[in-house]
Amino acid sequence: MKVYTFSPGGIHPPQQKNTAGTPVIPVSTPDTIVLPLDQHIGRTAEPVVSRGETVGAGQLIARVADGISAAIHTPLSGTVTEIGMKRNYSGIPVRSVTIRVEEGQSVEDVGMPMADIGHATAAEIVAAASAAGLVGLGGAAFPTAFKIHVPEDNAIDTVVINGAECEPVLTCDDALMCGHPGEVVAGARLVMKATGANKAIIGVEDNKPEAIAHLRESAAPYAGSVTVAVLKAKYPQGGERQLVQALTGRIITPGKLPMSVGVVVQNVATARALYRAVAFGEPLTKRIVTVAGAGIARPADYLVPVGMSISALLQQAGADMERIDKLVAGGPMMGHAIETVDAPVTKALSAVVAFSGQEAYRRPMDPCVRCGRCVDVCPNALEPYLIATCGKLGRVDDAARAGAMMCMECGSCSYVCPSSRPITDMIRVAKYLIRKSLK
Amino acid sequence: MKTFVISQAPHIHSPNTTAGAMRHVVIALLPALAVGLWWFGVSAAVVVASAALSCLAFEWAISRFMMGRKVSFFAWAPLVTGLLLGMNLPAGLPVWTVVIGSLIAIGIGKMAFGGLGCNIFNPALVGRVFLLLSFPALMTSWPLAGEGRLSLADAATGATPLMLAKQGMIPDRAMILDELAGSVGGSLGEVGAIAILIGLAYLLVVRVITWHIPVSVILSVGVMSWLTGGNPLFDVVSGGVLLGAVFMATDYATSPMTRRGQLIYGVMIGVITIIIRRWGVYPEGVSFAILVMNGATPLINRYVRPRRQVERRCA
Repeated sequence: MKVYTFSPGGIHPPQQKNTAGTPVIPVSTPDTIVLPLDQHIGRTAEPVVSRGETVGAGQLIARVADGISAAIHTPLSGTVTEIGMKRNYSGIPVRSVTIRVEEGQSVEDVGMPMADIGHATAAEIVAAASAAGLVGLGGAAFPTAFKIHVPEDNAIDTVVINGAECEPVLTCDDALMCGHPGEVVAGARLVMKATGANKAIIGVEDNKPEAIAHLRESAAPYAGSVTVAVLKAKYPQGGERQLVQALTGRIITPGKLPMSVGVVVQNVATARALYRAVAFGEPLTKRIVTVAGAGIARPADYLVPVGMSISALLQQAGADMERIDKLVAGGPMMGHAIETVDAPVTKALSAVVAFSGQEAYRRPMDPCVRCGRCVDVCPNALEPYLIATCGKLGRVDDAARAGAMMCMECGSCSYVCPSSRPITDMIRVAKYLIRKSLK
Repeated sequence: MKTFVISQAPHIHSPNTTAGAMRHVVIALLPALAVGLWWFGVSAAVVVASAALSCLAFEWAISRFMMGRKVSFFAWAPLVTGLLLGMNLPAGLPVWTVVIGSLIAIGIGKMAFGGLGCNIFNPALVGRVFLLLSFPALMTSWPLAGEGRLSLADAATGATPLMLAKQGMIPDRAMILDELAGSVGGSLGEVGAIAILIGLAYLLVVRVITWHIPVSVILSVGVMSWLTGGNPLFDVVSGGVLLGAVFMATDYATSPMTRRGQLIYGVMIGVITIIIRRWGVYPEGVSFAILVMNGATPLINRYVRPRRQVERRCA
């Protein structure tokens, strides 16, 4: 069996995917939900409800703003109690709609027989993605309708569906691929149709044999157009550039989009949500969130309505808040530290990972011994130590010449540094200084 | 309200540390050290111990009093420097000479540049070459292996195989076998090729170094020796080639960052070594070759960059 991978660079952090193979647990219904109006890259959505209004499950709450944006729907029915600023998990106030949830509802994935999607045209698929408020569920939250709407002069021939899930701890995509392989494959075919591609490759790391088997079975009827490819478990295999290189051999210039080499990449969960949107007009209001780590009594993949507070989710997972010193939204390699748990789950929140004690803190930093590990592992063939030093010294031109802007901040350099130097942080500083100097 | 630790990604870290890497180097030196002590006895132990201790002491004193840093007395990096320096000196060298060498190694070779990671030249080699140029007589009276192991008295000294080769001797098979086992004259770290290769295997297994530098140095010495009409095997196993290739040239701070750069660096060390051995005044050239290439390392880092990937539409 051929196992695909990228080069150069990459690291092998301990996988810690302890929740793999466990059933997805629907959370019990929260009593309030808060729907931030900018859960995506682009413009804040515009609310279409008013205070005191009664809303039904799946109803549109905020519509797409001009430019790049995504619609927001309510997962549960209830009453709008407030439209105003609420802090997101990073502690930043964001315009949000608060809804008091009506009692007697449950959160569950309604199983549906596979619908025929053969008749959907490209325009209909893009419209359905927009109407359902789809965003990239891998973490970037880029509005899907804009990603699959291909400009005339860009010929797309290949769709890559990202099931790599190369981040340690995370199993939400694994659970989704095992639970809904047919819907993922159907979603892949819809992305093909929308972009005019003639083939789709679903890439899954070899540490998820069950997902691969399920997907292969579902893709069997579409042999020749939809293939399931096995990827080597290596971080950052799921990075867009790395994934496209591994599966198609095409090299994307860092900083450019996969579109430039005729490829569109979608996460498996996005593909599945696209299928649900096209087949049933179902808006994106729920997602699978991995809750795991230190002090979590019931680590699992939870099915969570968007808008539920992270503290309520942690409570259901049996989190011992006394023990937990640090929480990360997303994977431990690229996720964001959570500032407050009194903030809602968003569409792109893949996981909440808890850390306790020493592991919540960084090791003290030693001098750089110029061992070259960071150069070895950089998947974009950069010299992280050099960019970091330029950033630290404020040498903007040198940092730019060393390719700072090509860094995707995967964190591999910081991970391997034996002197525990915050290389990725220093590169972020360099990038910030470069952006500032260009203004 | 509960407050959480906030930091930028990544939130996990590899368990490897710089101190851990240095500790592995010390462990890898042990077989060669043991062979050296077996052949040269107590006087060698005195040299190594005084080098190690004085390197630790100088590192601590300079950091503490001249650079104003808070440091603990023990650190693995100066211990590596001390052991390497000690193993590069002839057994029976007076202790005061060893202490001067350590001061130059740590003080001039390392701390003057800013300490760990900032030095351009391998500190142990700076110390060794300083002693070689300052005290040539003391530094070239190599005790014969197996003589006077248990006494501190002056052991019989004699020419090293490389000195003999310089004088026109043609190395034979017996001599190469002696080199492998270590029963030849030389500095205690230079004898015992097999023990050094065990150290190399260990360093490769624990991934402290990669094969690039040691293999390129050794192959380059072999090929250059063959091209200049020497005995390649003798040139590789004699003198400091193996110790240098495995423990000195691979020093992180003074070797290039990229793998391709390391290959160029390794090959050039081999070339310069053989040029010195054939046409230079000294019988041995590894120390000089490594120091010269240490100096060339910033240049290599500047011109040998990782290959940038350019856009490619098809495989």
